[in-house]
Formats: sequence, C-alpha cells, structure tokens
Amino acid sequence: MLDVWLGGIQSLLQVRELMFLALGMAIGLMFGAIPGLGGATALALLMPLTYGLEPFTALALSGGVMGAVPMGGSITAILLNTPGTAPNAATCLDGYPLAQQGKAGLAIGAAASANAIGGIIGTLSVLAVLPIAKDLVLLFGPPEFFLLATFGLVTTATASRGKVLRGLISGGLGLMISFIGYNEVMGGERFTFGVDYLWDGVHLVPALIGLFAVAEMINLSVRGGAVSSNAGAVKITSMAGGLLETFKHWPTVLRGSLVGTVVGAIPGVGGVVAAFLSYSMTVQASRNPESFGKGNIQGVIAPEAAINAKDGSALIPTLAFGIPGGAEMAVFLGILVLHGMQPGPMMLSQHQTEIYGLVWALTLSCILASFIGLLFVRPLAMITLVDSKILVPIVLCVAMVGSYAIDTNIENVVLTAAFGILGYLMIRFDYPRLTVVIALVLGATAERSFHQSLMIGDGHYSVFFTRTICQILIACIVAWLTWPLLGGFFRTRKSVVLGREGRR
Amino acid sequence: MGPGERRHHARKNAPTRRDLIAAVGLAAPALLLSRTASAAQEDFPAKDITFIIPYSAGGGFDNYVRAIAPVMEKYLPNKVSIVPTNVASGNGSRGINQLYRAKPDGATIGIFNIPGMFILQQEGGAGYDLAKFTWLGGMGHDNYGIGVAWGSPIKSVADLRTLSQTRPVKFTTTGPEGTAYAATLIGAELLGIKAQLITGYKGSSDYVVGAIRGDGDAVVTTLPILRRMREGQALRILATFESHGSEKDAGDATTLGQPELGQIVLERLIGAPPGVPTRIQAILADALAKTMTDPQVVAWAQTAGVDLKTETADEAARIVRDQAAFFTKWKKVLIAG
Amino acid sequence: MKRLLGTDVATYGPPAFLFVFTVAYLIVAYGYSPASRAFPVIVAWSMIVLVTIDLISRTQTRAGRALTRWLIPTAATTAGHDNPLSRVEIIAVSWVAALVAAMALIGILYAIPLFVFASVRWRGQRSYAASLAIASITTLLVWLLFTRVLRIELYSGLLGSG
Repeated sequence: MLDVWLGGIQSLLQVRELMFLALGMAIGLMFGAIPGLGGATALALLMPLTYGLEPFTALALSGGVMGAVPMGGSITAILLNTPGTAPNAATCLDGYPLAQQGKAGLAIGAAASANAIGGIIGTLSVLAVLPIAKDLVLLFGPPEFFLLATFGLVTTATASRGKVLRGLISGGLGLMISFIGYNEVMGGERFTFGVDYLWDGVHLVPALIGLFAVAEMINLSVRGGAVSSNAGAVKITSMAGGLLETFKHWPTVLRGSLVGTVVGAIPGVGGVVAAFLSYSMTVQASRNPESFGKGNIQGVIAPEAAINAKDGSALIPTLAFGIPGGAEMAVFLGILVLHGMQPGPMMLSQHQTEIYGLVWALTLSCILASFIGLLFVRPLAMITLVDSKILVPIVLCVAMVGSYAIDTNIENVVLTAAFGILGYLMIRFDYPRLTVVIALVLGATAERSFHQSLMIGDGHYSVFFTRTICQILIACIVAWLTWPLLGGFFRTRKSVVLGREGRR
Repeated sequence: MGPGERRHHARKNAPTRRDLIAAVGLAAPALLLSRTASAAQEDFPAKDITFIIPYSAGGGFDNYVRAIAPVMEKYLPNKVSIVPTNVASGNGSRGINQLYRAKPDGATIGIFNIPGMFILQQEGGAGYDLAKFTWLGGMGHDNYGIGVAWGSPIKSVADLRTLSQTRPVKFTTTGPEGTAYAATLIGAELLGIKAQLITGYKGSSDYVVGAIRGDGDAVVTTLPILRRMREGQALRILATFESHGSEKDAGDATTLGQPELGQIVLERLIGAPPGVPTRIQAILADALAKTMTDPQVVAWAQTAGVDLKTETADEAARIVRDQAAFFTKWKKVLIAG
Repeated sequence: MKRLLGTDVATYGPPAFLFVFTVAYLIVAYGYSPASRAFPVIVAWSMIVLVTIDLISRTQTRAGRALTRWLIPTAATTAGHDNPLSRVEIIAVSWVAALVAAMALIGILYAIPLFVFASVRWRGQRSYAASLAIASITTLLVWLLFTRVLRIELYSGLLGSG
C-alpha cells in the first residue's frame, strides 16, 4: 500500500502538475471567497480546459481547486459574515464576532491552520479507508440516514445554550421550510403554491447567503461604522496568533477533523452538516458554552477543521460508486468521466496511482492555500475597517449576483433578500440562526429517509432498531440528550445565579 | 465567367464594346447573386451558440454535451464557441422551457432526455410541447435492464415472478417524475411482476446502490450502469430490455416474450426551439452528425463506455413520436403507480 | 406603549408572528395526503407548543418568569431589545428590497451601478465623484468576472428582455 501512496506523490511532484495545482489553488481561493460561486462553479468552468490535459494533470488541477475553496470561503465568512461556500456559514458564527472585535487576523490565522491540519487528517483517513470504501458506503442506508439526520438535529438544538427554547423554535422553522417542494418519495408538491422555482425546495446556498451575508449587511447599515470598531487591535494583527490558538486547542481540531471525515464520507449529507455538527459538538464539550457566538476562537477552529477533513472523505462514495457527495463532487465526477476514468467499483483497483495522487493534490493545495491565507492576514483584516456605507452596497451587490450566478435564477436573488430580512430579524430578536441552517439541510433528508426506511422494512419500525449502525446512532442520540441535560441543569442554575450577580 | 462570356470568347472575333457591356451586364448579377448566396450561408452562426443542459453540472447529460461541444465547433461554417450552459431545475423542465421560448435563430440548442421530458409534459403544466421542437439529431440511447445484488438468491426473471406471488418485489428507484421510475413500473407490468417501488432516492446512482445494499430486491436501470456495477461484482444482470440481448446468461425482450420492453429506452436527443429555419437546422444537424463520427469523440465514447449510435434529425423526430405514443399508452399505469 | 400581562405589546411580536405563520402552515398542510402531511404536521404542532411557551415566557407572570429562567436565561434582556423595528431599520431593509426590485426590473448590470451610486452618495454622504467611481469599479468587476470569465448571461430584467 505504501508504494501506491508514494507513487501518487511522485506523480504529483512534477513541474507541470504542480503548476496546474497552483493554478487550481488560486482559482479555488477566489471562487471560494465569492458567495454563490464555489468549487462546483470553478470546476465546471475548468472542465473544458482540462479536455486537452493528461488525466493526472487534470486531477492535479481539480485537487488544487477543491483543496483551496474552503480557505477562500473562510476569509469572507470571517471578514464579512458572508459564507463563501455553504459550510463556511458555521465559520461566520464565531469568526465574524472575532472580526468585529478587531481580531480578524487571529480568526483567519486559526482558520488557516485548522484548515491545513483538518485537511491532513482527512487525507490520512481517506488513504487508510480507501480499500474498504465500497463496504463503508454500503453500510449507510435510509435508516442510518434518518438516525444520522436526527442526531444532527438534536446536537444543534441542544447547542443553543441558554436559549434552548429559541433554538428549538428556529429549528422548527427551518424544518417547516425544508418541507417545501416536490416530495421525492410520495410525489406531489408541498407548499409551493404553483411557483416553479420552489419545485426543488428552498435553494440552500441563496438562503445561506441571505441569512448570513445580507442579514449582516442590514445590521451593519443600521449600526453604522465599520465591521470592526477596534482599529487598534486590527493593526497589530499577526500571523502567529492564530496558529498558536489552533495548537492550543488541539482536541477541538481533532474532534472537528474526525467529524468532518466521518460525515464527509456519507453521500448527500455534505459539508454544511459536517461543519455545523462539529461546531455544535464543540459547544457541548466546552466549559463555557455561552461564549460561543460571541467570538470564541474554538468556534472557528472546529468547523474549519471539519470542512477540510470532509473534502478528502467526500471522495470515497464518489470514487467507489460514482455517487457524488455534493455539487462539487458531481462536477468532479464529470471531469473524471471526461478523462476516461469511470467511477465505480473498478476504479479503485484500476486507477490507484491517479486516485492517491488526487488525494495528495487536495492536501497539498489545502496546505498551500492556508499558507497564503496566513500571509495575507494583515491586509485582509483591513477590510474590517472599511466604512459600512461603502462596504455594504458593494457586498450586497456581489452577494446578490453570486446568488444569481449559482444557476442563473433571478428568483435566487429574491430568496436571498427574503432570507436576509429573516436573518436580520433573527439577529434582532435574538433567535439563533445555527439551528435554522441545520434544520433546513437535514429536514427533507430526515423525512425522505424515514419514509424510505419504512418501505424497506415493510412498514415495521423495527428497521431502525435491528441494524448495527442504527443501534450505535440511537445510543449516541440518547447519550447526547441525557448527559448534557443533567449537566446543563446544574450549569443553568449556576449561570443564572452568576448572571444575576455579574450582569454586564 | 458567366456562360454568355464563354460563348463570346469562343468566337473567333474579338469581343466588341457591346459584348463587353453585355458581359458585365450578365456577370454583375451573377456575381451579386453568388455573393448574397454565400453571405446568406455565412451569416449563421453569427454569435456563440448556447447549448442548454437541463441538469446540473457533472451529470451524465452534462458529460455528453461537454464532450461534443468543443468538437462540434469545428464543423460549423463560422468560428464561434458552443457554450454548454447548465439550466437545472424542476427535474429538467426549466431548461427545456427556456429552450422552447428561446429565439429560433439557431443560437440556442439543447439536449433532451426522452422519455423524461415527455413524462414531465404528460404530467401537465410543463409549458412545452415536444412535438414542436426542431430536431437536430441524437446521441444514441441506453437500454434498460434488471439487476440484483451480487449475492442475491434471485437468479432469473422467473424467480422474480415467483417471489411476487408471495409478496410484492421491492424495486429501488428515483422519484415519480424520473425515467427510472417509469421504466421500472412499465417493465414490471410487462413481465408480470407485482412490484413495490421504494422511491425517493436522489440522483442517478443512489437507487442502484440501494439495490446493492439490499434496500430492495432488484433494480431497473440503464445498461451502462448495470455493466459497470457488474464489473465490480456489485450487481448481476438478470435481463436486458433489448430485443436481442447483449448479455449472455441474461434474458432479453425476445426470450421473455415481451418485445415492447425494447421501447423502454433513454434517448439523448438534441434539438432547437420551434420554428428554426430549415437552412439553419440543416447546418446544425450536419455539424452534429459530423461530430459524432469525429475521431476525438469516438475515442472519448470508447473510454467512457458510451454507446454512440447516433440518430439523424428525422430519426430524432420519429423517436419523439414513437415514445409519445408508447408513454401515452402507459399513462394509466404511471399515474396509478 | 400598551402593556399586556405586564409586558409591552410589541414584545410579543416575534412569537405572535410565528404563531400565525405556523397556523397558516398547518391549514395548508392538512390539505395534503396523510403520508405527505405527516412530518409537516408533527413539526407544526410542536412549533405551536413551543411558540406558545415563548409567548408565555414573555409575560411578567410567575409562569412567564420561571420559563425564562429555565429555557432562555441568557437571552438578551436589556431594555429595548424587543422593541418594534425602528425607522432606521425599516429604511435599511427597504434598500435591500429596492436592490432586488431593481435587479428584477431593469437587470443586474443596470441595477448595480444605480444602487451603489445611490447608496454611497445619499446614505454614505460621499461626493458625486467618489460615488461614481465606486459604482463604476464595482460594476466593472462584476461584469468582468461573471460575464467575461464565467460566461454567465446576467439577468436583463423583466423590462429588459421584453
């Protein structure tokens, strides 16, 4: 096995491959930063260009793009509360408050290093797991998906510490919205009122752009000033600070990477779930969960590690069966096919060097992109000092166009605006946005998997209790619910007492 | 030189001034005519051509279009780009609608999933009429077949029938608007298998993996997918819906006594909006036909394992009519299912 | 400001709105087949319970205060947080709506320079020259990236496409 690993690196470390890797990385960084564009768009754009390239070079280019996109997304998430890609919405939660406190550099530095480490851990996991990839994919069927979705919903609901009621309400709202659209299992449209655009349900990326970017732009224009009022802190931004934080919180990094790797390998669940799940679990494990959402650096490290870890493992179902884990993987699949590499059970045995080379390309690009992020930390942080009167209209326009550009639907822009207003109202009236996002993403999956499971189990609910992975997942859910509830019970009393005494 | 000039020239006498004037008088309109004729031929294409793919990037149809677009450019009279454009939404209906309403000047063409687009039209409210499109040709088709998990105890279609007498056979498939769904329902009906469809799998491979996993007993899907999975020892092919099967050890439409199964196919047709002038249709259809035989495309088809049996514009139109008739006939079954 | 059960009426705004929304959602959901409406109905009823609890927690009754302590102790309780939207906020939201309307009507490439110019000039109080410059640069960059590099046709507006 080691020789194939090394064979992969060797093929990658050629001048031409490295050049294309660097090109892919630069494009990935840029596309990751602009909301609405992302890995999928970048790859789709480059696909015709790869036509004349050798398969391995095309893979180096693709790996370059895919490895760098998350870093690009983190930067705008932190500086402008604008998730460059959907998973980066989790980075906004604590990254942006840090930027507001003048600590954008710290956040970007931490994100960059968490990115790199998450990417490396993800890669190693993939390399280790690739030989049994097929069996792994087959382990997760509709019953497992349902329980996984439930687990995701439960973790995020309990993550809104101190505001559980509002967190649940946000989650409920997200679920209700997720049921809009054509029902794949039973046929028939729900809550679309004849609007064709809603046939596919509420489009996720435009909704996220609205919920985070537009909402924050509204907030900024109401508040006035710049993103950060703390010019002094911004000017002393250093590269090292963020790096140090990541190493200081190494359990968080590990946890995030693990969650990212596991969740990323499950097709259809995707980066958003990985990022938010990692975030929620870190909140739960923390000793002062109330500090999250207000600029806790771990709230940046956790999702960032997960996002990059997932990139590697998302390849597993893609390569093993040709099931893309998401839009980016779908386009990547297209590139593979274009170059004569049919994903499927045979691919792993027929194209081993190429695959390992790709995985290394991903990792290398991820590390390089993080490095570049670190290099430009100071000038990037300066964006937080730009006056909102100039920043807001520019960001709004770019966000709207990005939203439109996803699939050239002008309705995306309307949806973004609507969610922008909703997002602002949620900020204003203090309802957490974290649970809305997770519910939006998982709601439809949970329902679909549930109905499918019943069909598979001939209508018996036992289908959820007789399969091994299901049993593990149920145990996880129960553990998650009961353990913190007891701990939280005591903690809430304590914090209420403290709150009364130490009110700001 | 016009014919008048040559006759003059052939005479022993030198051309008189009147001859020359006559010559110019004859030549001028001839020259003018030929210039306008070639100008008319050269004015299309005048700008880039948009090639609409009604699905998102990375899917099967997307691959096909992106493989042929750069090659097709070479066979157009003028140098323009063919830009593959994804217009994904509504299971393909948005892209086809956009094509339907585009200007019929040849600057927009698109790829169609037949019968997918017909099923959508039949459901109602699709907003287009397949019969009215200007057809340019096709990129071949896939036949369907039945597969079971490698280790499944089911060995033949007869086994499936026997099983269905005790309980419905579970087929994993896409949502009710998908082509696999229709293929499964109609195929099961024709073969006399009582079927229960486990619907809702998203995407083109999800439901196949569902069968491999054991969520269902069997799956009806296209042959390329079946073959790929069989190569990796994930699925066994029980039967193909071809009239003469290409798989040994598997039944086909003839041996199963159901020739109609051969009409369950996935066609990839290429068309333009209604009302495109015949002249432009001919240019596009010709370019498409030449693209299909281009060595670059043939090589790609071979490595991608794609059957590139292409159809002409007339054949495409005929296929649309035949498929419409077939699926209208089966409309009741589809709606009931 | 009118008071109801010890709290300003405006404070009940968010949960009241959610309540109405959920009821409407339920009514529509019951129009679908039993299998189709199963999940939406369960979620909606749960929401009604939750939103009711939210409403009660905002009252100044004993029950209300107890609920707040147990379920939302760290929710911001500084005065004015639950006030109705101020004029500044409504203006900010209107600008976003205006941008969307402009994009939908006259198309993206016309809406952007107009919007940026108007925002920077009238809300930002910058000079005409600065506003023009910023608007032009933004539009140019958007045009370059999306139309030239990505070859995406930017929406030309309901009035533009005719």
